[in-house]
Amino acid sequence: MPPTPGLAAASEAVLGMHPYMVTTAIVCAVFAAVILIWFLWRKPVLTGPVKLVLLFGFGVFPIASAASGNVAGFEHTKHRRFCGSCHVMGPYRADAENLQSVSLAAVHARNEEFGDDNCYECHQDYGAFSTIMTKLGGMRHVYEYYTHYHKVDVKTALDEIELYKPFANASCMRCHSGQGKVWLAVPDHHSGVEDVRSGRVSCVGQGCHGPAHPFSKPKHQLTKKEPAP
Amino acid sequence: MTQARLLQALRISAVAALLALALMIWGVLDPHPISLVIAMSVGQMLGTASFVVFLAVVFFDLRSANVFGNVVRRFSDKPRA
Repeated sequence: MPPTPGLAAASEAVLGMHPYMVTTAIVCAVFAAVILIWFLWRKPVLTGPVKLVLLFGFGVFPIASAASGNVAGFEHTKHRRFCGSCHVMGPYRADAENLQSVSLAAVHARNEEFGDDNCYECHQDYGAFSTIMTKLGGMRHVYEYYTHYHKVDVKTALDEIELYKPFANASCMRCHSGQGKVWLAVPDHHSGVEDVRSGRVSCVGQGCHGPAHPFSKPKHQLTKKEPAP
Repeated sequence: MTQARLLQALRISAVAALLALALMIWGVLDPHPISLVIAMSVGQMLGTASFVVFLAVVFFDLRSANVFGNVVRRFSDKPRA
């Protein structure tokens, strides 16, 4: 029977990715816990020094632990490992990690500018508060997963899963500005640059560079269930 | 509020803070969607609430010892130049 990845494996992975933040969070939490357990165990009278010690147990160490834990948590949510932790995202992750794949997602995953964060780099919202807005939007993914897709098999999920809104060309144009000579030298780029900028033509459209994943398809091509006779 | 009740409130919030720390560390060590959401919502709310209770207990304790009154009196008794 193959070993199932447990907490130990997950901890090792997280420690490897964000060692300082995770260590700070754990050390501060341990210090806070020691103070709080001491307070509960010894039941000291509330003198000035006790209050000062408790300030560290209730405030300073937990706040430091939460802050560093939040940073580590937010950073971890950018990783492909996190995106692929829901089983319905498994094929997307597998494709991105497949060195033989020539899909747009896989090609970008092999670019070191994207690397392990390739899902986030392409799907993040464009704007000043992109990280926060993306993570808030991600709450809908969590809701959808735990209320619906949790029990759906991968094949069905691949048929059903789609983007909530069309993929924004701005996400591509963060890197491919559309002003470089090499980019403009492509005839289709040159003639359609205004359509690309305005969003009338999608970079990941069927006739251009899409689909980004081998199994992603436009909404109208999704498998339609025939009504029962 | 009596010293005994203050201590009781502080002990309850200490237990809540320990629970909050456990949830936050769970989110760090096992970062899956549900653990992160719980750590960043329930965990941090519990932690914040316990810290607020601690600050309130300290405030009530200082007020019962009339520390604030003494500070005000000390400043108001200062002779003017």
